[in-house]
Amino acid sequence: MSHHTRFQGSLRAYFLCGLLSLCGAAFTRSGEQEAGPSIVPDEKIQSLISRAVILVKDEVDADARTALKSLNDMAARIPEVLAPQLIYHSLHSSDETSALGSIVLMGHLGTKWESQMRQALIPFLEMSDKKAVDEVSMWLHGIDSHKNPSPESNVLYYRETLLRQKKTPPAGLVDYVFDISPSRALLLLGEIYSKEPKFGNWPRDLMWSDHVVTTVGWRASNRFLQEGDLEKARKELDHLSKHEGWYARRYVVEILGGVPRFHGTWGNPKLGTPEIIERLTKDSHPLVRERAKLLK
Amino acid sequence: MARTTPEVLAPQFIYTSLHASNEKERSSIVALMRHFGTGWGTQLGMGWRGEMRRGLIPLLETTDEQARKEVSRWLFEIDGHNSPKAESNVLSYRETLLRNKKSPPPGLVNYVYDFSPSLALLLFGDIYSEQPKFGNFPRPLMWSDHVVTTVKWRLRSQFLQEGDLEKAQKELNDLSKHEGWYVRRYVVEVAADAPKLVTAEITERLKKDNHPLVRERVKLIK
Repeated sequence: MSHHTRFQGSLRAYFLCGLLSLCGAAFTRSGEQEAGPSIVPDEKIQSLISRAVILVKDEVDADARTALKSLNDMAARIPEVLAPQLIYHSLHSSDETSALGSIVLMGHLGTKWESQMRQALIPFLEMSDKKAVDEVSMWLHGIDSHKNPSPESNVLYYRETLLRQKKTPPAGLVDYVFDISPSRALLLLGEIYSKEPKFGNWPRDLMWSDHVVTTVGWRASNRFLQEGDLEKARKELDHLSKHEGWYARRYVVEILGGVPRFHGTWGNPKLGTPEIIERLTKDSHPLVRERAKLLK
Repeated sequence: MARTTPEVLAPQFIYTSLHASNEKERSSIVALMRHFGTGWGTQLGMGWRGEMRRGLIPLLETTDEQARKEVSRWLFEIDGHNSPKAESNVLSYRETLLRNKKSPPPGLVNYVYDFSPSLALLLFGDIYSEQPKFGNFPRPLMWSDHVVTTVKWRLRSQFLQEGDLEKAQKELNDLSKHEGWYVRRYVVEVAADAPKLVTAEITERLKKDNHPLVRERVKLIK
């Protein structure tokens, strides 16, 4: 058997293992909440990653280069197997070289195999381990920001997944898109939940509401508030907090939460009122209610 | 070389890129530039982005329009145009612009205005203030830009409200008489991008501007 064929055989084995661990972890026990996926370390892949991260210290290390070549091959062919292993390695780095190497490695693989790595990482946003989800979010953000760093455009990468799962929106992915850009998440989900979803057809009433809110948010953050500004923004937010779409109510939560996780400084708790916050904490939808609890 | 002599390497990249004989060669050189400008090292925050930028900046002043465009393209790539962090990247040019404030290099001025007219306005506002201080943007300019960009968004998104155009035109009229060339240049950039926001009177005034960095660019207004 040639080296190439042997390697392809190994890749297939990794692929199957990865699928099994992913499916197994997502298995729902009767009457219990779905556990979400988890990551089971694969000794061989972890070893490859450990060898490749040496490149941080020595860019010409031959063994590290060979390991990187194998990882590149995996990223192209079986990203759904490799991505969680990279996350695992990053979370369990025991020294500086390993930690930095993980970041660099993801930067390298994530930019070279952008689409594959993004798709592979998305399911792991639903893990129950918050630290691991944070890690996945950071990596996705790194991938998203590289080629087209505009948060507005980056949210659109997730449209297809969100559209497909609109009946039961995946909580982790919803958190992620709101973390990237609450404004664009509002418009994207507004389009997805419209009667006739069509890419780029943002609901105009939501566009205007967001414009009013972000304009006043900017003024509040930069000490440029004009008379009547706060009232205008509060009126919009009050209206949105009663909107039939959960995503519009979730947007209000994000705005009142202040600074979005990745960027943007326009969210502002000053724009809320106790009535709005009270309403959101009692919201019928868990994707609104759970996040609203953080406002208190 | 990227580390030690970027000023030697950068022009060679541009030359090779401009003289690529086929698409494959061109793609390879872009990949190479990405590697040096935004590649492995940069992921660690200790890459050669700064060095490569320094190597490319002087080339913005070339009289070869084709080469200048190529240099801008590469700098856009390094600076991550549209990035939320792009603002901090444009600030990388502050030192060069501050040092040359008496005779601002036209190529670099064009570049920062191409990158973001709003940020260029604020950056120059700080540089030409009485006591330049990093990040100390003049508040009147911040407000003017806010008014203009807000109306521009409404115009583009078909949300214009009564009085909006007049508000933006008033701001731009005041700015077109500002003593700072960089403010008048900002008006030119806005006018080129959204002609409805300026009046014929403003355009006429800018055409006769005494500063070449304003006057020359007015040709872009249609």
